[in-house]
Amino acid sequence: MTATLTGAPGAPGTGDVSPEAAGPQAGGRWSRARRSPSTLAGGTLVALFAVVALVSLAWTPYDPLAIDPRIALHGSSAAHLLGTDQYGRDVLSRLMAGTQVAFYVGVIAVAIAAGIGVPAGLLAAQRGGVLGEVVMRIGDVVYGFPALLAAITLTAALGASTTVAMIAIGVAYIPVFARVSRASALTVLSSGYVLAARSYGRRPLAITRRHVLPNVAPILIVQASLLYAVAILAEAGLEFLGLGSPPPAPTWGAMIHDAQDYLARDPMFTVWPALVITLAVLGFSLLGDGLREVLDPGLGR
Amino acid sequence: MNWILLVGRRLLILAASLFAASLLVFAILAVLPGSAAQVILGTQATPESVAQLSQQLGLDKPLVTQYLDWAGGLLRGDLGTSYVSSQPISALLGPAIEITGPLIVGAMIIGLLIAIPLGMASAVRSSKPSGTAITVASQLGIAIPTFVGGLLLAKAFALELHWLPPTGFPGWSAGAGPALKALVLPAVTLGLAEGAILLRFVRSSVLEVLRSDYYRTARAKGLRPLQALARHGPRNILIPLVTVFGLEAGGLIVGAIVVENVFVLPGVGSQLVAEISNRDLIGVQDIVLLASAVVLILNFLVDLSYRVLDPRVGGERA
Amino acid sequence: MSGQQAGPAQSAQPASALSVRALSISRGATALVSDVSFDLAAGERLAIIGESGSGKTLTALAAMGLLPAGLTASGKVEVHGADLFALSERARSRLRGSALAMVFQEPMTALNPTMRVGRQVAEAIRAHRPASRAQARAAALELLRRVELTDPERQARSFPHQLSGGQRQRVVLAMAIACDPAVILADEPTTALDVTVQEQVLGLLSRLVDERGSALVLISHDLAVVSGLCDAIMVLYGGRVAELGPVRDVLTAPRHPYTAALVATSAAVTLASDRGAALPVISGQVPAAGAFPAGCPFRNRCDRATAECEQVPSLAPAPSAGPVSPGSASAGSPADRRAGAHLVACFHPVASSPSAAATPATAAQAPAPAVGPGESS
Repeated sequence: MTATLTGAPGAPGTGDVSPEAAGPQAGGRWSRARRSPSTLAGGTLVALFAVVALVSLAWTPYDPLAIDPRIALHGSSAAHLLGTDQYGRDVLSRLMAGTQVAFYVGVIAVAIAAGIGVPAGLLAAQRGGVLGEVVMRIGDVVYGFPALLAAITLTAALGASTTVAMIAIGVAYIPVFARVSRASALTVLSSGYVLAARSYGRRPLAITRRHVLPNVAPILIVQASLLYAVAILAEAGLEFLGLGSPPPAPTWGAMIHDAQDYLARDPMFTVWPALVITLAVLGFSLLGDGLREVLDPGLGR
Repeated sequence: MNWILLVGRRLLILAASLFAASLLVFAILAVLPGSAAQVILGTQATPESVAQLSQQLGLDKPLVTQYLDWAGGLLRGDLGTSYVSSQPISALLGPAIEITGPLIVGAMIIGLLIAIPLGMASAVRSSKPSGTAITVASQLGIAIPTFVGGLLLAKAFALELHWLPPTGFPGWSAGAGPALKALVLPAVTLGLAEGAILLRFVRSSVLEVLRSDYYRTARAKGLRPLQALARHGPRNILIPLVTVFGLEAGGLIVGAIVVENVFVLPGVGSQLVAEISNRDLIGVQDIVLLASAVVLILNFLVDLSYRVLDPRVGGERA
Repeated sequence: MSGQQAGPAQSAQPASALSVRALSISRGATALVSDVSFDLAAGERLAIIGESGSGKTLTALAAMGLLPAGLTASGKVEVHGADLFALSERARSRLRGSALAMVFQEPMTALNPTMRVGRQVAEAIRAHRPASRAQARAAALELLRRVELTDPERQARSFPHQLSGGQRQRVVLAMAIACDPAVILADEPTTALDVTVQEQVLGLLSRLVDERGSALVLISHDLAVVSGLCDAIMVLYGGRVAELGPVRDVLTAPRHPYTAALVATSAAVTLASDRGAALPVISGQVPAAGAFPAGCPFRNRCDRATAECEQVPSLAPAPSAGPVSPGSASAGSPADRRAGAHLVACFHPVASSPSAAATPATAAQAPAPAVGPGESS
């Protein structure tokens, strides 16, 4: 009877009623995380891959490297769920083994990027001044250089190797981690409770440990997840170009490289590893995006 | 007056960065264990022949001299001579750039054509299913590796439908038609990948505009939603978009390498991969430096464009 | 619709510039604003007072039809005789800026940082009037002069970050008056400004409203600002109207415990020279939106609350507060208020004067002199 007016999407909120005040956006970070579709989907995918990786360390249906030319290029069957490749190797087993590579790849890249980037960023935040500026400038220059290109160049210098490539990617992402930790640390360091802590004599290291790190950690997890996605994509690309681990290493990118020749005959050899790569990258991306949203809602949702 | 000083400063920084990049590239490759001469001649070669080839190629000179020779040559426009084929590199790179250049430009245009309308749509309809669908599609677009996308497109449009050639490049001398046809699938592959990335940025900037107070003011004046977005959106969206462009330049170059491999285009990317396999260091140095130069110049232009687009920048410096 | 008044001088009811009836705003199941009603006559100035979370900004936004996503409003908002909620979005856009204009709190963010200020003012003109670029520019300059900017030509070419806070707010005012709106809604227009500038801008606002005969809704949390400027005042708490009436009556003889507390705390600050006296406070804290108690939203902070207060009190004329208009239980129409009526939503309103004998309705509570709840409980 009386007409109603519905708020339009895109109209900005008001200071009067904070979006978190009531309703589905209420609650702490954990409950929001549990409700965010991106985080849930991404987290599930990542967990799934982690499980497969762990399992494959102990067991796969067949030995990923075992060749059997008699059954080359067979399609799906009861014995080989996803078929066999051109050397008769079981596709499913190779895919499973590939998850190990994927996680390994991410670990190296994140370890380097965070291991060097975070302390650098925190130092820049705490000392500030010229040192901080110089560090950031160097970071900008490094960041401008395409990571994959650096990886390719390094493989030229040091020979095809996944590890080398991942070190290159990790190095390329040091500036991202440095920048993010520095920004976050600066916010925390100028906050009320840190000023209070310093006023009663807490030593800088203790302040870093107790106050800065817990606040920086969630953002770092977001960046780590996103970097994982980048690393997996980059490594697959390198494998595809033939610049990664030499055959017969069971990596997803190499599998697609091999499958190219049979694209006309049976696209499924391309599809399975492609699907797996996509899901892995998607999982980490969604997880990273979802967590970022949870930490800072309203950021370009 | 200020303008000239500003641009001049930026140009100096650009020159310095180029110099630093050349040093870096040279240094990394100079670290190579095992000499190029060794690789060219193979493992059976005698130490004497390796030494002789090394001397021929100038590999036994001190590093500094090698660097200066190379850099000096670059400044003169001489890209050096390939270790492997003994041909001037410029002759090899020329035709390669004629392929990769249009490929990258085409991909950028396609990417923008996808990202801008779809990004805006997904922001304006952010709470409706169509908006979510676009967002999901863009996530997929980013997750699917470029080479996979290329292979799928090739399978569908070339191998099955026979509309376009699956691989190879006939050369511009064969006519614009066939040449362009050969570039369509590669450019679309790369463009889709770029578009997916740019879409997310367009979307988040449009959302920022929609959530801003000045958009609300425009609505309060009586402007309808699309009107308000059209009047107040462009500059505020362009600024972050241009930033991403600069950052994505590197990604496009790398993507070109992959795409050229999938579609067997003899462009700069394929050249690079071949040279790496052959340990043709001079060639690798040249290409990598070229790529870095493109990225640096693009970022330089992006930086300059801020001064034009954003009235808040530069005022502080003045 | 409402207002079956049977008193004299009420047959010819002047048309209201803005009429709000039973406005309720909710987010899903949570009510943020409940049953707000008021009328605004042409040229009248109404203050809406409340703390953060009281729903005052939302009320104004609903009147403009600019609610954020996720909120729904029901009720009736009438401007120029048209029910705003029943119109199409297109028709509402036509009213915004021309019949109803809004001034927001933060002048810095209310202006597009990448667009020159003069152009933004011109945009307000061209939104509703056919005008060429040149005509609009000239009109914009004139408006900038009207809002007392010292160098209109140069300032029109400036970007927002090149102007001071006070100048920016003047620009925003210029945009608001551009099309001579019948009603101007000003949401805390001076809160973000320096104190000295506040006075100037408020004075300007007052003059502009007078010149054009517009009605004004001034939203504020500052009683001092409001007392000098407005004719009537509406106090909101917890999304409901607590009290509504002529400004002098409400502020000198507040009937709702919340209003009384507000008046006391604001007066106490001015008279802070008395060192010995404890500052009166209102006990408790404002609950987050949607977390107000059922019934009277103030009851968990009110020391006059009883079990009766679990019902929602209706807005009715306060007992012994001037001539009562029987049957005018709903919204405070200008006619009511001109007749001195002073409405309050409370089961145990504060008595109008310390010596007034308690009427049966308020027999439960002893009248308190200067109301200062809060030291107890």
